[in-house]
Amino acid sequence: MDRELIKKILSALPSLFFIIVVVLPLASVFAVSFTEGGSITLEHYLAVYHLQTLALLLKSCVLAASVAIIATIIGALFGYVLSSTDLPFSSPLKLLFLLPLFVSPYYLAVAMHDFVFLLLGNTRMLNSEEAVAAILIMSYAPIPFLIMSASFANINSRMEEAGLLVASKMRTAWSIIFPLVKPAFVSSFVLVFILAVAEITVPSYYLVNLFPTELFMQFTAFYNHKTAIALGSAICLISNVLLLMERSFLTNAPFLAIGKKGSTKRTATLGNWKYPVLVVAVSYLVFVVIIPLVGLSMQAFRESMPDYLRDKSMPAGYLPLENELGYSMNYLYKGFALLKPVILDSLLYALLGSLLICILGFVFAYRSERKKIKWMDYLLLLVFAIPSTIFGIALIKFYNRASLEFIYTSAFIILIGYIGKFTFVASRMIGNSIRQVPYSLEEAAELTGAKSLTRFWYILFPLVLEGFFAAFIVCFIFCLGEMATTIVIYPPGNSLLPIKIATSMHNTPDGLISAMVFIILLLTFSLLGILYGIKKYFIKRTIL
Amino acid sequence: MKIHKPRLPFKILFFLIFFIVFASGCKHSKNEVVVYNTVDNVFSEPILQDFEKKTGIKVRAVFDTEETKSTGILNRIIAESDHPQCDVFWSGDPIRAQVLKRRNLLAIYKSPAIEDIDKQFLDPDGQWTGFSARARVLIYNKNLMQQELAPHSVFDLTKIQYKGKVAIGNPLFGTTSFHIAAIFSVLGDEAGKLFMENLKANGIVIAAGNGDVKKMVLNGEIPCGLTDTDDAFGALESGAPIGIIYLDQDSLGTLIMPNTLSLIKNSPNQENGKKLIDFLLSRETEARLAVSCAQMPLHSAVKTPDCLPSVQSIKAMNIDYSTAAIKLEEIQLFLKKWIEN
Repeated sequence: MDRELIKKILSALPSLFFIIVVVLPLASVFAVSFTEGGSITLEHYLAVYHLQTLALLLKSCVLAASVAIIATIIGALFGYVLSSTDLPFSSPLKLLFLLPLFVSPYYLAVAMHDFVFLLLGNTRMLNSEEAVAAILIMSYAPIPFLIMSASFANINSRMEEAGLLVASKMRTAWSIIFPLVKPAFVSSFVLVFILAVAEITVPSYYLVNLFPTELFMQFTAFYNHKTAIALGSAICLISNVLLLMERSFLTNAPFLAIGKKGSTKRTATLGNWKYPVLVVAVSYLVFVVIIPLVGLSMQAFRESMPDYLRDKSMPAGYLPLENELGYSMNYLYKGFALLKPVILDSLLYALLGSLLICILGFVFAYRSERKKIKWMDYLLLLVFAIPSTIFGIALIKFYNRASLEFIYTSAFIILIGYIGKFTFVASRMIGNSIRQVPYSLEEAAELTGAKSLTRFWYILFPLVLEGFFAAFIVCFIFCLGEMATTIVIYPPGNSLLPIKIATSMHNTPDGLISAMVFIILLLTFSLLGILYGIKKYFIKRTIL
Repeated sequence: MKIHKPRLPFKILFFLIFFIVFASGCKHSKNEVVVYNTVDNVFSEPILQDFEKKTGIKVRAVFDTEETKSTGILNRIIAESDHPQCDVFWSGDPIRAQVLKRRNLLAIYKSPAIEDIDKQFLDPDGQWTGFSARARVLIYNKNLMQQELAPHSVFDLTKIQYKGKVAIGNPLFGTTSFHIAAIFSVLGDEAGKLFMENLKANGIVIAAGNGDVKKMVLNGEIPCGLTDTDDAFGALESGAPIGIIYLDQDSLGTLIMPNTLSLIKNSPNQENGKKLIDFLLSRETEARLAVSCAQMPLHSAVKTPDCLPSVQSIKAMNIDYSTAAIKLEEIQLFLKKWIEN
């Protein structure tokens, strides 16, 4: 066979894999939503797309846009002051800023509910769009923070210095820095908007009627999958329109040069602003992170109450999680006993999932940025934007058949869920890194006769390794906390950390739930520490 | 700048991925049963583990979450209906079993373990069996309301003295929706709608769910609210100054909601499914659930813990669960509008 043809087939394999494994199941459920009783119909779409629903959709878009703008601004500001200035204690503050990313927005909403009650003695003010927006901003601000930090860190200091020679700080920031980080800024906005517009659990918990709650209701109150899918299509459509707009907005975005690798990073001096900025940063983190964390720890370290209904004649160990003396155990100990059987599986699947996602994301980002093959981005976004329950139902309908049972009843289905949900995130983050590598480096290698694989492996990959690692970390955190899709598809007999917590939430004491969340936070932090250590070693060996 | 080739052992990683994932797929045994369960795993998992120990049959369970209003696995069973994976559906209330029954997804199984369970809690067609029940109760904060001044009937909730003082869960979901459907099925549609409108006019506070009603009353944010006995006893367990009232003991009666067990039609392990149902319907299981999560035993021979009323001591609302479930589907659009406006 022609060598070129083989090359083309090989390069198309990742896209084919994604389309067959992830897109096809979704396409099939969408196709089914246009049928009823064997004939083609628009019934489900017509039933839901009336003025009232469209008004709700508009309301959701306005809320999501507000969340995305504010979260991006907060993320960008913190990203700048914590990675590019001489602000004291920036390393621990960075870690604290990332913390909300480790817990689902739903838990944050529950924690904030308790906190507002403690503060004001009344929680009715939380039943509002503003409260939903506040929770989502707190939950999602770490995403722009990560993206913008990486972008600020990669700005070539020489450009900034050149600007400062002839212009004021403000003018340099506006004319040089902002255009250089514009793609990261827009990417952050798009990511947060999509996450916020499809978020179901927070508006449901705060009883705020938004478009996703309408969709949620179709599943939970009416069990009407086709109508829910019809509603979900609107979110996909809006997300893809947003991507198109982003593309046209970034068409003339400037080429970004590598900063860190080859030149020293410039650290801005805050001067007299150092301590006021520190106070603002600490105040934000106290409100968003430290207070909920302290509340969580206090509950987690509490001794559990004696079981109210316990009869003295009952043997020890009669009730769940009693010790050999028949006493209830400390919540933290109980929490660990509950989580222990699923810790290893959860970490393993999240690690494998994020690795696969980043490999695929790298390939798609490379094709998009270097080969200008953009259509895959729309498919990735479509799957990312589709509400998780619909994605889960699509996977069930497709994989739950005798011939594919080995996938449906094994951890493969969990990995497919992860890949579908987060490859877009990895592709965007790695894409930003690729965009920052001058193509001239690869061209120079090509002139010396280096083949494409060699160029990729020796030139590009080492230079985007930091971006790859950042994407890996974000995807790992997302995979470890993912529940909306996995709760619908996880194989019987298996369980994962977030599922274990969520499936205990109804009657289990708050202290035990807090203890379990606390353990997961500790685990995630420890693992991230190890991963950062590996990264440091690995990058040191790769780029000198 | 000197660049070395990255040394990521990709081949090893890929082999590792496939080995581990395949290994996890090979955990299945032929002697197994798959149960989908809406009851908290903390309480139900030890019971399922006991079944494994006693019979040697491997139990593979899927649990549900409050976040999805415990309807995630119901949606999953519906989505899997062409090729069922679940053998036994253990639901915390009869509504979900009825939804599956109406979709023709349940098999008929009449367990021999139901001898002393009242027929009211059994599906006449044998498609679900009730056991271990909860009741809909009113809880009140003793610091804010005295027992004699608290509502004793659902109809009291529309009285002016309770304006803005009562909370209920979102009536579109869970047992609150079933409670309202039961009231509609007893009163009729017109009187039911009037009752709901009066509740709204009286400033009823709507919480996300029963757990939040409990939290609001426990915190003293609101004097009283409607919830289920498991939540109410959970509040007592935390030492809160909470009182429990079984409503309408002189009139309608209190709504009793049994757990239900159903065998899924055409599921892969029917025989093991039947064995699990028999085990879960045993008196021993009911006794354990009574203590661990305040579920009232329905077997007349099972001793109820001293501080928990027996189901026989409560005047139960006289409803037909199938009729109430149908009514729920009928009134859901009304409830949606009631919530939104």
